[in-house]
Amino acid sequence: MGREAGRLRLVPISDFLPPTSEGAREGNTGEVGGEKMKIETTRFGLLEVPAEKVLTFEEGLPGFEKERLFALVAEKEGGPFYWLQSLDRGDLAFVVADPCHFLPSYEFELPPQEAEKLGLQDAADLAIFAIITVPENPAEMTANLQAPVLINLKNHRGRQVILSEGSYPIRYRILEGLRQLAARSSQGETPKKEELAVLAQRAAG
Amino acid sequence: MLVLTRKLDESIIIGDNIKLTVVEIRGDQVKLGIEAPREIPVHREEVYREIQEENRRAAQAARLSDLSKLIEERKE
Repeated sequence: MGREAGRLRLVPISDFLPPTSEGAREGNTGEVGGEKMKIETTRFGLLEVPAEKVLTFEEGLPGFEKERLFALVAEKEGGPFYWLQSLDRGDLAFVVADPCHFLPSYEFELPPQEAEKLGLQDAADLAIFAIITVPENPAEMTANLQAPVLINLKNHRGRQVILSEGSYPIRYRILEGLRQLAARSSQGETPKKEELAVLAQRAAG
Repeated sequence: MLVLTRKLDESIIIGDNIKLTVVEIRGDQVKLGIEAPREIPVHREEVYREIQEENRRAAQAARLSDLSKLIEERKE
């Protein structure tokens, strides 16, 4: 099946480890046991995912509570965008991206009970993604910044966490947000954190 | 369920560090101010449903191409 072989690659979780976590990376390279999950997907054909690249969402995602296993899939020229492909349902995949790529000020306080459910001990082990909604006109794509997808790179556990009301919008208009940020910086202003939050609200649909 | 009656500007304290204040009453709407430690998640009950709906919308995406180009153009 696999269309255009080589166009896709699974994102090695270790790719997301920040440079300071070199030690953690070591245990993570190479094939472990060689066991693979195979699934026929609608978007990528047959996908074979090495066991060590399987992500476990114990509670699924809101709206998809039964889908527990996922893998990150990168496409050539996908830029900051990746697929979060379900390994339970071949037709289910989300576009995700690191929100800092388009909103560098994005930050939040992780509730301790969430860190606990992720088994997170060090913030450096955390990868953060926003689920991207792509409407008919892709220029109007939005990012769900109120409910980021968090992945603990140490144990490959994932969760979609709902942040407090008023922090960030569910539908952050990415291109509109970039336009506003560019307008600000061309005026020689470095927006303050509070102002960025306001911009984020304004860019919300 | 514990039911308490409060007037405008009056508050309710929950535990040591959560405070709810009635900030505004207009018709059938009540505006509440919430003071809580940042690590305590606070959201409207409907928000979970909204996230469910947004996830269902997001699951419709068919392809990645164009997205990266759009964002790079805007960043330049």
